[in-house]
Amino acid sequence: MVDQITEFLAMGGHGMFIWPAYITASVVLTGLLIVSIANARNQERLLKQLRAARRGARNAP
Amino acid sequence: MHKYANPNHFLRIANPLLPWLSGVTIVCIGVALYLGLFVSPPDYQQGDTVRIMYIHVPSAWMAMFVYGSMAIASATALIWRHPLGHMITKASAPIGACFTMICLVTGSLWGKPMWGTWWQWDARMTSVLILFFIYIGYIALVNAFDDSARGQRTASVLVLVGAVNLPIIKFSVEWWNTLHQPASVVRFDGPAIHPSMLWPLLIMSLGFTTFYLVVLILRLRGELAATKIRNLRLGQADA
Repeated sequence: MVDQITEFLAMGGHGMFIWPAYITASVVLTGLLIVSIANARNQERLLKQLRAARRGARNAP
Repeated sequence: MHKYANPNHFLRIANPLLPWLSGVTIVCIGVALYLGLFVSPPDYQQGDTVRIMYIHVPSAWMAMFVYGSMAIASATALIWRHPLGHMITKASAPIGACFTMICLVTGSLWGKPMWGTWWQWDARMTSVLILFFIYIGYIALVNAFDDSARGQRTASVLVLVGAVNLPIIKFSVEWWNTLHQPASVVRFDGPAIHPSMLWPLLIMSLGFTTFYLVVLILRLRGELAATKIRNLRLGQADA
């Protein structure tokens, strides 16, 4: 079992090129997704706060 | 069509699509990784390094597809003055830049064992590097203006000028003597790749495309909210 995993990871001696390629793509795309989600959430939260503050100011005596 | 060019209306359609697109992305990338890493055979010449193809080629296609989308969106925005077009361009640029970077890095990692070099200034590699610089240049330009609408219009012109690079990238391997190999999939005679390798390639490409759409919708939501915040603050400043 361990031998099979070792053989799979070695990828015929080319593992040091193949795995960094897959890892690079994973890290970059995951990072992009996280940053995009965080930015959308932050902007929408800020918009909600600004609108609430505006409504509060309008309704204030 | 004009109705959906309004960013609010567009998001009313795009938001319900988000979970479906996310599901398709996860399934496609998962299946492609399984087929590419476990099922597809090693190449008779390249051995297992051919598995880099399942990341490198789809990311290259996406680098060009995203830029093509940006060019169409920019042209639409400039001609019909639809703000959604500029927003799509601005939201797409970081995604395209990421795919281009992945293409360049994975290409380098594939080139070293196969060609004996990390890099060569051949037509295909150089023109894709230029595409990456154009993406970075667009992102810098669009964010450089105090007046964001003006920045978007100016940067959209840059996108249209840079679109000439797309046919150069595509046909570079035919027009010049290049180290990079000629086309193996999109050719007049049809794909030259065995189905056992073609399927993971195409499924990964589909997964990357739906990933682009998911991230585009998320970035559009952020962009739309930021625009409304700017307008609210401008309104408060005038009051």
